[in-house]
Amino acid sequence: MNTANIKSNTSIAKAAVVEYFKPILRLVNFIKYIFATQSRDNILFDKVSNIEKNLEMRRVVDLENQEIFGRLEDVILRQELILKTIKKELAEVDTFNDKSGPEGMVSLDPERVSSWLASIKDLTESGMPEEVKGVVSEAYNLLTSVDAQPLSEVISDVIESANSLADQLGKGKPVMDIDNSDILIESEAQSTLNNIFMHVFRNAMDHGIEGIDERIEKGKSESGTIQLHVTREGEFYNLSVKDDGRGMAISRIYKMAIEKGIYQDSDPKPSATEIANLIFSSGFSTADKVTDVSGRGVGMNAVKDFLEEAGGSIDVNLGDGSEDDDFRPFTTNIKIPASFYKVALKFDKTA
Amino acid sequence: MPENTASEEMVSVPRRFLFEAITGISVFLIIAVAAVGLSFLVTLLENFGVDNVIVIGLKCAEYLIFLFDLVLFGRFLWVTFKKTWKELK
Repeated sequence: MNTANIKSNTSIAKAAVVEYFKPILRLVNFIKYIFATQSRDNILFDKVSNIEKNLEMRRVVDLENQEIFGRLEDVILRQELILKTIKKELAEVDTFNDKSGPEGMVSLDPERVSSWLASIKDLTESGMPEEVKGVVSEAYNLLTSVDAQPLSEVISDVIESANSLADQLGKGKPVMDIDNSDILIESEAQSTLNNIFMHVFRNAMDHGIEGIDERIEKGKSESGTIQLHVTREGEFYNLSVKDDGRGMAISRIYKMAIEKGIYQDSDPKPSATEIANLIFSSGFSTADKVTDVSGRGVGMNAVKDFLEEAGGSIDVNLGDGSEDDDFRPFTTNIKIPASFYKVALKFDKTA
Repeated sequence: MPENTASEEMVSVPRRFLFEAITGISVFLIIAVAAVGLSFLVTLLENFGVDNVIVIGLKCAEYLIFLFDLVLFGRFLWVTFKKTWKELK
């Protein structure tokens, strides 16, 4: 058993002991309240206060033992103390952040953080004063950010990669228009999304966005634009990506599909959308030659498999144009499941 | 991947319940042993012919400690079980 496990077990045992004696603590609180309402000068009141302080000492948490959140958990069960204690916790978290080494990294037990977030969400469903809502929201967002990152940060490497790819291909660095929304991507999903965007952005740079000369000829700006918009669809989030390149080579995809035997020349031509979504088929690529960038035909298929395994989906929607156009503008829709993200907690002020 | 995390969570929740239960049982036993020790003391004092009032007082304390311990233990188990059940659902 490693040190982290021993620490975790010790903290569980400590919390269990506190839970065991909780009724006694409440009883002492009640007695104190009775005496407090009778007379604050009462000697017995002072004695009970001292007993209470001693019992409270059991709940003192060791910062280095990742227990700062344990105390807040206890507070959630005792709503009457929530404002005072959460404020204290936040101050302690700040202190902890300051002490926690380079780049402000914090080492926390993800299980505890998850259980914490669930507790706070439960709590928010019950009515609470405005000032408490603010602090609870702050605590929730703080905890959320412990193991989740904004989308723009998750794909920052991909954006860098797209820029260097642009240089490599002799194209202008793309302008990234990212609507970040309020979602934070879970740590477990970050590498998956990173992979997905790596494929989508690289495809946009390699296949979609034209070279500088071609763009100028077409009256476009030298650099292409890649847009990423985030919208909520029930429990899913839809991340739609589109670029202002030449669009998808529908006729070339169709021709290749016939060559690969997916369609027969004699069969009626399928819809352009159906053809476009062939890019997610295994071994399908329209690149003229296999390069380091694309053309191996496994990328988009792998992306689709990644997402579907996790309960999400990816597809292509075509923009304006006719069924017979060689190129069609398109949007790649990446639907991510609830397990991929967290949303910053916001209270409805009109409620 | 998220699936792995979910299964790890399913394993860790019962593990935590196990630790909590073991801690609860240990605390229960420690207090119960104290109550039993008090019972032995009462028997000893009776043999020495100590005043009946003291003996009855100590016996009451013994039963009270045990009763309190039992109630605390029962409540602890119920709360812990409820919490675990909620997390597993």
